[in-house]
Amino acid sequence: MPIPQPFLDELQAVVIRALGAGATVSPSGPGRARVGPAAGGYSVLVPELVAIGGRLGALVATDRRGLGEGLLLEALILFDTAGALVEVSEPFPGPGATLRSITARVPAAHWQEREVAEMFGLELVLHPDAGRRLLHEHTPPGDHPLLRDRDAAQRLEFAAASPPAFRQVRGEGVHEIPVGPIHAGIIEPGHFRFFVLGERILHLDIRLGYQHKGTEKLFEGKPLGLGVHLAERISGDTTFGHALAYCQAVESLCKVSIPARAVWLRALALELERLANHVGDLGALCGDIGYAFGASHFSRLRGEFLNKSELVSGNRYLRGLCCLGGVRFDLEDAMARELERWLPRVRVDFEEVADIALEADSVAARFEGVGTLSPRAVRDLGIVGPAARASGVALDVRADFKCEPYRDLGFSPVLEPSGDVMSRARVRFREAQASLEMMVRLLASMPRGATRAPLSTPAPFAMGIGHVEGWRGEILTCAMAGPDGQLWRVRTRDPSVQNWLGLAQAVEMNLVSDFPLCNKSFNLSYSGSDL
Amino acid sequence: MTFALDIGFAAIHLALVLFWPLVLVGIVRRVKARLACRRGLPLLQELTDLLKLFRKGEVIPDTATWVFRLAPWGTWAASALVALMVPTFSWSVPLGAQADFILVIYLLGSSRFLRNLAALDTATAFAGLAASRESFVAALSEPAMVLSLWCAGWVAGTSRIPEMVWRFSEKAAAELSPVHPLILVALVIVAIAENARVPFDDPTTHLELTMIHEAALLEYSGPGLALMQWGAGLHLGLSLALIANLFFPIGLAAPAELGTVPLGLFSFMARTSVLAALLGVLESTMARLRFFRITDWLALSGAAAVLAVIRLVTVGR
Repeated sequence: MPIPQPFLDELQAVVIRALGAGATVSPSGPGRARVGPAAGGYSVLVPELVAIGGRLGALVATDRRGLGEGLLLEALILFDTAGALVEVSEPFPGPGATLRSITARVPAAHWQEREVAEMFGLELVLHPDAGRRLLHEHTPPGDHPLLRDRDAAQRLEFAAASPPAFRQVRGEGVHEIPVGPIHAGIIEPGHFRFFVLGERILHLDIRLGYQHKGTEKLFEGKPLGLGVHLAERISGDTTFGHALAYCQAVESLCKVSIPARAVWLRALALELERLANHVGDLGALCGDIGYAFGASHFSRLRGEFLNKSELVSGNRYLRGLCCLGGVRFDLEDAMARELERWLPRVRVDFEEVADIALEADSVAARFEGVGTLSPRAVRDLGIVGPAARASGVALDVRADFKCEPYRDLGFSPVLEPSGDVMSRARVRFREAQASLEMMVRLLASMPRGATRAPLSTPAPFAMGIGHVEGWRGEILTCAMAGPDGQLWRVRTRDPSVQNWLGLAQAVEMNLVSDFPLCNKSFNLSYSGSDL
Repeated sequence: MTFALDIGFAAIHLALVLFWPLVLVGIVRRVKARLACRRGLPLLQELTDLLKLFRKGEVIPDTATWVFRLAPWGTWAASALVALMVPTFSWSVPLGAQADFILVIYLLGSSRFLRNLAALDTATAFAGLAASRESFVAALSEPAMVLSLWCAGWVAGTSRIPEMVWRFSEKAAAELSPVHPLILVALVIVAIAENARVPFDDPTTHLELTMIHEAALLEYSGPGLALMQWGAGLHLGLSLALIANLFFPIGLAAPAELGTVPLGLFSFMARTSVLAALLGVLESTMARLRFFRITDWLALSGAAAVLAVIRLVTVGR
């Protein structure tokens, strides 16, 4: 979809106002435009773009010192109503240079600015919370893993620890509850520092990074095809979403057009993944409040979706299905017929369970009015996915960016108004319904033909972008290839990166004992944000 | 001969109070599993778990003192002592003469007190939270329990629990006082709250931040944990026994009459099993209450007890 001309004109005016007369906006692909690189391209222009309705998507830093340049910081700004993606960039001479934070004006930049600063050794100034977050106190101060001259095989040195910096909340009766990084359940590691007054949470400080495993560094120098397998492992519950975002990024880099049947099959798998996770989340929400009926029946239903994922791909988490240029396995007619027979049955079953569980008074008493996130916080923090839609903010890549096959089949995002745990549960319930409906339509309109297109050689140092509405929200993956045709840099922004701060906002002034419930209603990935 | 019979009765009672609760725990779990379409664990899983824990080593936090070590034995002993005062298959119990309801309530209270002290002793954030929450629940449930047992005592004309049971079992159901249903409501709510069951607490949760009872036990392992869990089992058993015998005293064995023992045993097991199954159904069909909504239920329990008191003071039994 081309960008509408009036929007481009408005964009041009803003860019000239922010950067001076020399700066221009140039189209850089379908639905994409770029500005710069220019001094102030990040720190001056991004707040201006956000002010006219842009949303900060991903920050992508690259170390181009080997190409005779310095570091380049690119920001992907999304204009959801126009369906446009604008890339702006600002060059830096090298590590140690000063990065002026825009977090005070664009709170959505909060997490990724720190990430860029830590990974590339930029000195972050004016950031309200500048302590190290992803690299922990044991990492030596000069070690910046994503600089290209840092060998991936080199082990992280274990330096003497400086005490971790938490924001301090003081006052009579205020006390701290440290939770994690080791938890009692089988969940991922993260540290939550609660400042509470009795049972009420005054402030929550979230410290992640315990799962940092150098995923982005691992992509560097790998063949394009191998990257799919790595992308599948970014966050286990979003195997297909991440694989798809990566494949889209590489495919846009190679300018391949995907056969229609493959596009349809990918959408089918994406909806299947969404169903398994949304239904599983509903069960987990019930489990957290000790509601045994909901917990057991939703997890039984989740099993149904995982089994059908296995039918379609040979793997319960859809591993290995997505590949560059299309999908690896075609959907046989017998399978399609089995899915068609199964879909109405499972829908009745699911709706029956959900009607009982979400209508139960004791459940409503726990879900309603808890962990409320305001639409304003959603916009400021750049919250994405079901968490945004549960606060009434219409944000869904499937609808906003008119991508196939959703454009043809007609899709509108599911919205709930109140922003509490109940809203997030109901968004999941209704999105699961919509996904079931979508699967029926996908199967009915499935085109015939090839399922895979051959790849061409990627243009070196160009940026390919993958943009997918995963079950947890918008996944943005940027891929760049080197002159040797191997991966040069891959950056993935999992939806969790944007949403963690939303969780911290939502739990303020709630009860400590309601935190696990709020946390589950967001169900964010640690692995996806720690990379 | 009577002496030998007394010893025999006491032995049966002892076996019943110490081990039958483990089966009751199994029944609750089995009912929950069945309602969730699962097959469920063997009924004696709790016993197997306890035996396993008793054989294991123990890890004691560096910050803990003798309070931490004493608490499992203390809480278990207090619960076991109460178990000797609450009738099971027969209204005669080994410590019948001492079984004043005030003593029973405060022995249970001291068991909880010790557990809370031990929780604070570990100096961990979760255990401290647990101690504060458990005290919050106890402070609200204790008045209801005192008042309702006091009412039961007034109706029966005695302050000793075994005698209450005996008096109630002598009366036909129609003659029972109208305060009975009120006391039943109050005591059932208190029993659910004090045993940390849904909707007050969730015994199966792994979420430390939501726990009330379990968080106090987080630092325990091996034999210490086994005693704590067994103590909790005893508490559940004697709560169900108290409700079963005060309100449904059917088929109780008469002291020193050997022939009535089988019926007494069968009746006791059947009645407590039904109560345990009902608890399982409640736990399956209801979500936990929000922490500060616990007060609503406990207020209901308190109100029922107060109504019973008003009725007794103004109209009499």
